[in-house]
Amino acid sequence: MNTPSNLTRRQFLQRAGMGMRGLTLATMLAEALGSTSPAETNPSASRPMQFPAKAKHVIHIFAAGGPSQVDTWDPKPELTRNAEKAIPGHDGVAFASPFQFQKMGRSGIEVSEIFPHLGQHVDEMAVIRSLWTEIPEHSIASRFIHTGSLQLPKPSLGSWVLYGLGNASQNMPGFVSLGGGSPEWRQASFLPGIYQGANVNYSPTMRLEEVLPNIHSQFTPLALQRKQIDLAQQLNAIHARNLHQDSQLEARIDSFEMAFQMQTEATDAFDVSKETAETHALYTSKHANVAGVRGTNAADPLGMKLLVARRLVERGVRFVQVIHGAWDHHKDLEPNLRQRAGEMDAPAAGLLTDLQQRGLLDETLVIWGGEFGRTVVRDRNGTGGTTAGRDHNGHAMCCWMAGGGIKPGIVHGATDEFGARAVTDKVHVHDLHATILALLGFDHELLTYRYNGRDFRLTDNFGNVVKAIIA
Amino acid sequence: MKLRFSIIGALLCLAVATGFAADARDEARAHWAYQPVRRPALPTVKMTVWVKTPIDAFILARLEAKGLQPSPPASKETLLRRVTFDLIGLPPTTEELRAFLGDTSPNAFAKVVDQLLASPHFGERWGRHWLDTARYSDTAGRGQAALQSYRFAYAWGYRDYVINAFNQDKPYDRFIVEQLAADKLSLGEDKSALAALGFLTVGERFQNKNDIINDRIDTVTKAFLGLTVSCARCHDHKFDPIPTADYYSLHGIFNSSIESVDKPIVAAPKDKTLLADYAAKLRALEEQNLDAYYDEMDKIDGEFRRHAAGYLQFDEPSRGRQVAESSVRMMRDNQLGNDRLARIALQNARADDPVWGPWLSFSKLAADDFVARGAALANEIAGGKWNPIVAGQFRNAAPKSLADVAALYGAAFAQAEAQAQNYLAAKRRASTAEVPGFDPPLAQLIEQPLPILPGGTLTTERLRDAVLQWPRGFRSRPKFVFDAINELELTNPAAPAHAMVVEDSPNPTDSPIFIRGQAEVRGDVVPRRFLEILSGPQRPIYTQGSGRLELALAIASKSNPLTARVLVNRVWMHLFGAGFVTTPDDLGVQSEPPSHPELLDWLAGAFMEAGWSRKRLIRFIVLSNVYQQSSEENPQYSQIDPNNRLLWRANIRRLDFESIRDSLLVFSGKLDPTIGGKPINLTEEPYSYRRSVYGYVDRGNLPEIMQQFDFSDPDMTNSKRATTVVPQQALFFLNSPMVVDIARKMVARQEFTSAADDPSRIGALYSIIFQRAPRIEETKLGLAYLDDLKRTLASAPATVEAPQPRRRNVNNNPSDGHTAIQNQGEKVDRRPLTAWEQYAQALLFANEVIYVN
Repeated sequence: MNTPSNLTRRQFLQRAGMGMRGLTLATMLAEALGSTSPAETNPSASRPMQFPAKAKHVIHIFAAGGPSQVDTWDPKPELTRNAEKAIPGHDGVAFASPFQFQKMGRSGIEVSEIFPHLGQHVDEMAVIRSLWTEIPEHSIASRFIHTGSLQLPKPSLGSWVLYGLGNASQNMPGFVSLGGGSPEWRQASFLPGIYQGANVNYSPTMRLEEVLPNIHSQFTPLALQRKQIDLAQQLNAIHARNLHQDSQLEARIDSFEMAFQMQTEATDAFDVSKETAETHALYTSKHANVAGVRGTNAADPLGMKLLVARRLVERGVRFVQVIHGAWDHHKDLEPNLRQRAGEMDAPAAGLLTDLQQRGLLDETLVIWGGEFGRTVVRDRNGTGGTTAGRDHNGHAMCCWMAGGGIKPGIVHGATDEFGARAVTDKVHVHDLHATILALLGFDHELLTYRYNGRDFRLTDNFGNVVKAIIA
Repeated sequence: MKLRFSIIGALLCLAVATGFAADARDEARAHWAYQPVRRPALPTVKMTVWVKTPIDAFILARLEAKGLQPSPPASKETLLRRVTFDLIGLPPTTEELRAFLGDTSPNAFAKVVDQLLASPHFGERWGRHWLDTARYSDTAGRGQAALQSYRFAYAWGYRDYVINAFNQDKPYDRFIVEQLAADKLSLGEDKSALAALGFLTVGERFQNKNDIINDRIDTVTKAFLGLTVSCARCHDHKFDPIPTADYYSLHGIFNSSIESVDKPIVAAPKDKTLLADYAAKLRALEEQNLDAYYDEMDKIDGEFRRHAAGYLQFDEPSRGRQVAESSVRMMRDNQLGNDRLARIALQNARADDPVWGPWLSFSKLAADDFVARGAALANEIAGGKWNPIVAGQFRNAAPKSLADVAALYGAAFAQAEAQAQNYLAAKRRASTAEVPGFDPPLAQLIEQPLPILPGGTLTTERLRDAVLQWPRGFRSRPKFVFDAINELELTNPAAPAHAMVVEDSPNPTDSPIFIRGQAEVRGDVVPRRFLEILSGPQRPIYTQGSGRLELALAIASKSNPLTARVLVNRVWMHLFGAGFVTTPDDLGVQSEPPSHPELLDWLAGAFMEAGWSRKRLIRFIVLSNVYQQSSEENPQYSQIDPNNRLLWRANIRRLDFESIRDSLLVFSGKLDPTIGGKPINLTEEPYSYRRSVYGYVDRGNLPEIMQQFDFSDPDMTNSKRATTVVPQQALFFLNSPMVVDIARKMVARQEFTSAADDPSRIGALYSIIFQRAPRIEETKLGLAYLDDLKRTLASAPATVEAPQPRRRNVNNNPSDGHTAIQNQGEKVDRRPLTAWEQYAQALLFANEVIYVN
């Protein structure tokens, strides 16, 4: 029944030797960017890299709640020496870190005792000790670290990355959030909807056909579903003929093709049972049981999310967001931070090992960090606990990055003697974003999107690339 | 699942600590939205023949200035579909289309519009728009205080109030005042307007009271004024002329407004049998709660009474002294896992406490002073005005250590043991603190360490309050059934609707400025009053109670420059896809300038003059030529105005979540048109056929399908829906049992089953789904598809692996919002689809289904 005059759009594009997503996205981008011909944009749907770079994927492990810098990656002996004394300019008495630090690796970077496994990887990391943010309130600071915007809804980091790099996967959304975060953190906002992060409320105990709602056809075999879609696309072509081109309608045509492929490909991507016992062991934390999730170590929710993240990256997904919550330690910091770090330590180290073994670390940027840091004095409001905690602090926070063209085994920047405030080589959140884009081959000032008459970018009108941490 | 954080301190501030430079402040004050609404004169245009209404003149003037012309009118089919979705959120019926096509009178379209405005479905559509603005949810969010139920049992009463208000065309100024201060109006016999106060109370609940107040300030100012006043919580607003002092003026108003313990009934079912059934269930649950309460009191106070000597050794002052081996052993057997019982008893005890005064005196003695002074002190106490049972123990006693004193107390408490059970039972029946027939000193000992409340006064809410006074660690033990009561109220068909009201606190007070938003760092106290930028220098201080009514009247005032503009802008957005100002909840300095400022003002003025009638405003707009244009693309114009801000054509718009689902229900022929009532489960089998606006909205766990179709985030005011296109939406159409169910029901409809041949069957489906006849090529495509499919099915019947119903979306929270809401009915048949069912489903995939031209 396929005469040349009624080829489906998909068939036409396949015959023309082009992935259909390519042309549609190129068309959309051309429209969005105001260029006259789709050919001006890369048919692979990526924006051309603006300079050579290594990273092609990002795994962002977001430690939600605001991890304490002086207990994790920024040791402060001076704080310990002044323990329980009032510190001038601070509201309260110094709370010395309850954890020991030890020099690890060839680089000799000091690592908190709560990260014994990650400590084995410090030579692959760039640790930023001088990161800072604007407003130390969870929802605002989280919005800021994920979107570069304090208030207005703006596209998320992952959406910008996907917009820049394009989707390398025909069958998977290019930006996947593995559940637990605010929709703001994965929103495309004014970027085309195709750049929005797909939310997968992944848990290792769920059935694969439930990883994504409706991912599984219960009623109609795939071959027959294919016929249904082909028919609908032919009807869409007739419909579009009367309206000329409309990017929303084109995108919806795409979305059915992608959804069809996803049914087989996506469940496979989330099927960690296809991994060996050795790989599972890499991602397993002995702390996982205590985290409140039933089952064995194999059900380690964070570990399995990181393993899924690797499987997604292997399949071309550009940006994987992994949320690890409850780093907000106003009280009882010692046991709680130890627990939280313990859940993260072995699996994150396992991810780095695994990526390295598979030759993926070079092209995958792994980022760990939260939305702000914490005070170096006891939190006076942290009542109800048996031991002390720390309050929010935007003046100092830390994060680490590994792989993806990072200069390995370095520490960047420094805080004051107590760790309360970034002072040397300060890195603002906008700077961090500029640097992440640079690692992916984009000049943050040039990766723009025109919307309502203005060129928008992730870094607003700010941001300086931290060249010192790029290899 | 969404992450929830405890918001510690009052840090929800959006502006950084930079002061406003004076000239910047002046510039902000000059911002267009703060200037009075003035009705501009109509512009002159060239193409006067196109101008049917003043709206057309304003739009055309801008188009002509750019050298553009409006598009030709849309076809009647397109127009009917557009206006029907826009006004009632449903597709037109075939009969409606036939009637409209057949009506060639000049006012044919106006007749259609009037019918739609009179339909009760109008309120469902436009009420839902307002519910986005009002951040409506049926749940309190994850941050609510201990023992508060996760679900709101009565939020739906507010939802129904909103729907009715639209259907009655309640004037917008009245709508505002009722939502802010219905409790302060003289409502007469009909108190149903009290439900309007849900506007304030259906917000997210936080443990910190100031966060709840902030939610209310944020919602009130965004919803009615298009201002982000909550940005001024910590510092003066960074962009708009809203000082922190103004935020705390509003804070005083809402801090002086408290939620009433008794929520008035605004609607109750009449069926006596159902009511009796409900009342019996409620009574049984209330009894369970009382059982749990008195059992727990018996456990806590009884444990202490029986081991008082041991627990007293764990008292704070005795720390560091030798704890007797017997006490340690006793602790090991402690049923409650708590060594603090004595401390709880003593923490508020003063030196003259009749029971604990003697203990406090002894605990001041140093260990080696006991020998010298113990006997004398005991003697003194024996003659003192203490609880006589306690004092009696000290007669002729010579305690040599605090442990000896503890032992004397142990003996005193032992004397209360015999009467304790009888006393508890009597207290449960009592309505007063003192129980007749029991010796007060005895009662005094039995009610240690926790006092026991009389059962006659313990309503569910008071019991909740009482338990909240308990020390931490105790509250979670007893099997209270607060959640079950909440569930009964929410789901029992006879449970009446209550209004979630607020009232003025007995002593309304002004709030101090919290420096940097921190409640413990207090600045100047500011009077309760309205925002300075909207009231001018003669700003009155509010004196009537909390000041809520005065605030409401200041907002719902014709001289308020923002109220009407914000409303008109939102209505325009809902009808055209974009507002004059693209940020409907922020018309402040940061917003983009309006696309048509003169038209916005003209409409705002006309709206107020016409009695704040939203139906008239909508009618006026849709009868313009601008609204009735075709959506056809013009590549040349697209170059000049790619976003169609000048409205040279109609926008192609994707239907929102509710309209998509409601359309499917219409196609199935099973739409249940009932208006109002308790919420239904929108996403799980057995499916409901009620309209989507009646779906249960769980802000803590919004179903993925709703997120994927861009349902409004119910955490804060959010009047503008996104329209994303993601593959998960396609998966819904491909695989969800809901869509399969619709496909099955469509081919079971009489229009389909009575069709004579295949082309007629195709025609019937097109009429149901698209309200039009198929084009010749569409029929051909359909016949070819069916022919091919039937042959495939004949050679290899469709089999799919044994389907399993999707598992419940299990939420770890024990008070999971969804499990309570279950629809009646049957699950979707799991058999493979027939050829015609597959065809019908494939038609639902078409873009035409979910886009309006």
